[in-house]
Amino acid sequence: MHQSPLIDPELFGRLSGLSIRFDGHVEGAVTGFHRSRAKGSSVEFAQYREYAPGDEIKHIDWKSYARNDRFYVKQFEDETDLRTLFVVDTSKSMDFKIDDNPKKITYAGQLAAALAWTLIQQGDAIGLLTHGAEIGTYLPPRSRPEHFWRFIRNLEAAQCGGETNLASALTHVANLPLKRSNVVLLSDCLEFTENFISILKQLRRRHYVSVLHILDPSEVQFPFSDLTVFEDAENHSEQQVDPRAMAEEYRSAVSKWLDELKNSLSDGQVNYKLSTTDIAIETAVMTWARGRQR
Amino acid sequence: MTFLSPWLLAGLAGILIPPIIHLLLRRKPKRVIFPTLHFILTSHKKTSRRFRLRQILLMLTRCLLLGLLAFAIARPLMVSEDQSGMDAVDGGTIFIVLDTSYPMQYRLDDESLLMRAKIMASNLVGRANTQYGLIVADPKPELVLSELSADASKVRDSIGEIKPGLHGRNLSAALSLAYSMAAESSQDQLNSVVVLSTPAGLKDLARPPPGSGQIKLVPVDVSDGNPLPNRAVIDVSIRAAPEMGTGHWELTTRIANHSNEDAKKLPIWLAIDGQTVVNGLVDIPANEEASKVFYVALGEQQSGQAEIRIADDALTIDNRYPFWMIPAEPIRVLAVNGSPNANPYKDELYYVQKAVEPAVASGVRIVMKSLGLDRLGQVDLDLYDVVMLANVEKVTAEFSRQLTIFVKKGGGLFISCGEQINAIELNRRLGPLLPRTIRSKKIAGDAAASNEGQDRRVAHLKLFNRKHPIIENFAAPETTSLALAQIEKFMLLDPSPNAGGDVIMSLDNGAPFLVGRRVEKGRVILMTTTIDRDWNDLVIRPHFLPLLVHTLRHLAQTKTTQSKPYTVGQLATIATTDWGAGRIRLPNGKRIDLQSNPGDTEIRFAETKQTGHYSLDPIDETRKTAPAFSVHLDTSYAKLSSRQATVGEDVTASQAKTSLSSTRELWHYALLLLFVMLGSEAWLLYRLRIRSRAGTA
Repeated sequence: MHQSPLIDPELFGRLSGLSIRFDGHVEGAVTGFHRSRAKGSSVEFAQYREYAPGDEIKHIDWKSYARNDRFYVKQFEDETDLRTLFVVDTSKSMDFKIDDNPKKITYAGQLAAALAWTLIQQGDAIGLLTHGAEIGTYLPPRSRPEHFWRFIRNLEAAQCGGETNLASALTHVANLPLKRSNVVLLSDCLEFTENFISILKQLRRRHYVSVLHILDPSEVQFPFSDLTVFEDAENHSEQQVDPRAMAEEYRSAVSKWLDELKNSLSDGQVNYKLSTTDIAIETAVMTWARGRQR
Repeated sequence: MTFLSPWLLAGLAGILIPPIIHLLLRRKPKRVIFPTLHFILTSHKKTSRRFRLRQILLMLTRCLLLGLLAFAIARPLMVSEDQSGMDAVDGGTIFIVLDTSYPMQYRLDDESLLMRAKIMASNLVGRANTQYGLIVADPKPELVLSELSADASKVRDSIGEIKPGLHGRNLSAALSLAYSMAAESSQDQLNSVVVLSTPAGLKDLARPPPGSGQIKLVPVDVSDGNPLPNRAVIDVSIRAAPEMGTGHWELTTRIANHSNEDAKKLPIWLAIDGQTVVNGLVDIPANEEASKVFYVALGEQQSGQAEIRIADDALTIDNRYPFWMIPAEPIRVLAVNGSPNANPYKDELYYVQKAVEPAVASGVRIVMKSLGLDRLGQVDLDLYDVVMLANVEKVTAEFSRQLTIFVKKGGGLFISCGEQINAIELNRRLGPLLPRTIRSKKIAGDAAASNEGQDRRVAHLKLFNRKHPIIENFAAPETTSLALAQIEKFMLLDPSPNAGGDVIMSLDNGAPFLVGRRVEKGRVILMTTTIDRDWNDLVIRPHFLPLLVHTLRHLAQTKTTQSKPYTVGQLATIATTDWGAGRIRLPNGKRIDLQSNPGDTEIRFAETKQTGHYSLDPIDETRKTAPAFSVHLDTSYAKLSSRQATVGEDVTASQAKTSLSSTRELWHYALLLLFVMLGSEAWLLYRLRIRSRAGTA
């Protein structure tokens, strides 16, 4: 197996039995166990529909015709594979850590790798889009096992830099020639514009969208006490503050921001999950998987 | 505003300590790259101003704390702009009249009124172009500084050196002095006379006389309008109390309660020679007086230095009243019995002896020795004060000579008559001493009297010489049992009195009954009847006893038992016969030599500046130290508060109250503010710590 800091073989071993299901419909090229939008010929009955010219004669339910004197066509659920596109934020703010916790970009990569491994194990396709200030690498979804390693290599090669530009990245995803897919955004979401939220909601019309919000614990808890000059990771602006004076206010502001973000995304039927980098990857994967199976 | 310890204001430099500590311990900030600066910026904008304000407040509070501490220990004094109206007198002269009488030792808030007055007086000093005159209102007021002075430090030093006294005050004389000096100093400018005293002292102050220029009288109540409750022992009177037993005294003490609250169960003690011998409790209604009576017997070894004391209050020195309990010297009587009898009831001296027994002798100790005529030759008359010849037939020439010398040196001679008397022999031997020549025996009743249908068989005492010292002791002698006495027989006397003789009592028939005479330093009394029941029933009458005692005292020339007490500063007189050359011992133990000139009967002593017991300490060591007199405070000053002011009458007191409120020590308030600031500092620190703890949580 390829040696990568993003891969934990023991973790992957424990995740091998895990299956991630979607209760929505996805479109795929091969047969899988995710329900397809297409009504096909499988054995699972879906519904009756009145006959229309062009329907195959063999799908007419003659028993129903005998009872109602009208033609009805039987429809069946078709099953297909899942395409999942991981959109990983590689802006400069993701290159941040305090204490022994991993950097946010590393954590995002480990989380994406674990999810991708689980999905590809169940025959689903995985793709990757990295973005910082600009669009980085794009890897279209594929379900072949060797595609997973290309996925990992691209993740490893991603370099953090520039300011966060989620709106641009999501617009780019919306314009990709993708069938209905599962779009998973891994980002610290440090873009404080309404534009980013509205684009996410628009994207939800075509795809299933999940946001894995990754933050360092210090960004939530603000554990500073000494006089400190804080410098912005992306635009290098700075401010000297006495943390004793504003820690409470800071925590209150972050908490409010997280609540608003969660509520806005929930309104847009976007799945949202916050993960701080001190939470184990396995826990984060399981939590996300359970959230998908509601 | 002024300060009592202005040099301590140097401590105000301490307000620089907190900023210096802040600058020295300032930390260098850490540098952290942080993605969520957006939230730091918004939070910082919201909280930084408030936090900075709190920190500045904390710094200011700490600076203020140190400043207030320095301010408080410098003892600030608030002198308002309108203080005593003195601001308008720059350029004139201020006469400060300071009351130093003993009430100024009253302690108010742990500070004597005199100290308060001195602080107030010091605060008046230091005005531009102003001269000061300092007058102490003691009984003889005088200018403390020899002349008016504009030197503030010199005036303040003089004020500081003023000591409290035990005397009263003489504000009238002090004001007269101030007014006269003010009139001389300047007629053009406004001169002020500031009087610092108690409300009682400020009552009815004399106004500046007309034509004395512009003089403003400014009374200042040093008590700041506070009530000045005071209790004082104001008087002690002493009398012998034989009814309580031999040698007993009755002491009646009066205590005044000058306060608006009743004094319940006030402890009171009587001490003799420094030892408490009796105590008690007394209730005194508000603003009234009460009496307390003690009965006490003076021991043989006790000197008689007595003091009444009550529980201490804010003015302690008037809670003690010193006095002497001087036991009377016994009157030594030699009685010559001219008609002794084995039957006691018929003995010539039986009734006399019964009368002079100590328990019934009205507190006067009379020691009597009786002798027969045959033993007179062995007697030393110098051992006696009075010689009594009771129904003595005659005396020898030698005894007559001794008796004459005895009387001329100051002794007393009492002669009573009777059947044994040989008038011719007595007249011959004792003629130079007798008040009148003795004639013959007379029987009161006669035939003519019986014929008038009246009981003329006896004579009665009718005429009393009220001016005589013996009769002075009886308020109304005609109403006493003396007037009821029946005199059956008496001796007639020669109607022409010898020099110095006078009739003290006469019978209703005009015959003299008791006749007295002064012979050089001595005295002689002749009674024309017997001193037993043979010729009269006088001796069984109740008033015979006081008559005999007063007669013997008169003959023995005993002094008033108790010495006269004086008030502080009063001129005391000491009889030279009591003392002679020697020293007087003051209450503090110091001795002062005094010499009397030949012929002086008394010496005047002016050094009565201390309260307590003064005694005579003779140079002749064979003579004992003797009580002289006691000195106590003039209790008329014990009431410190003034009565309610009435319009037009007591304006000064109300003015004083106004002016008082303008001078006030502020260090209490500074300390109070300091504690408030300490509390504020603790609260601010607590708030900052809470934030800090929340920040690091």
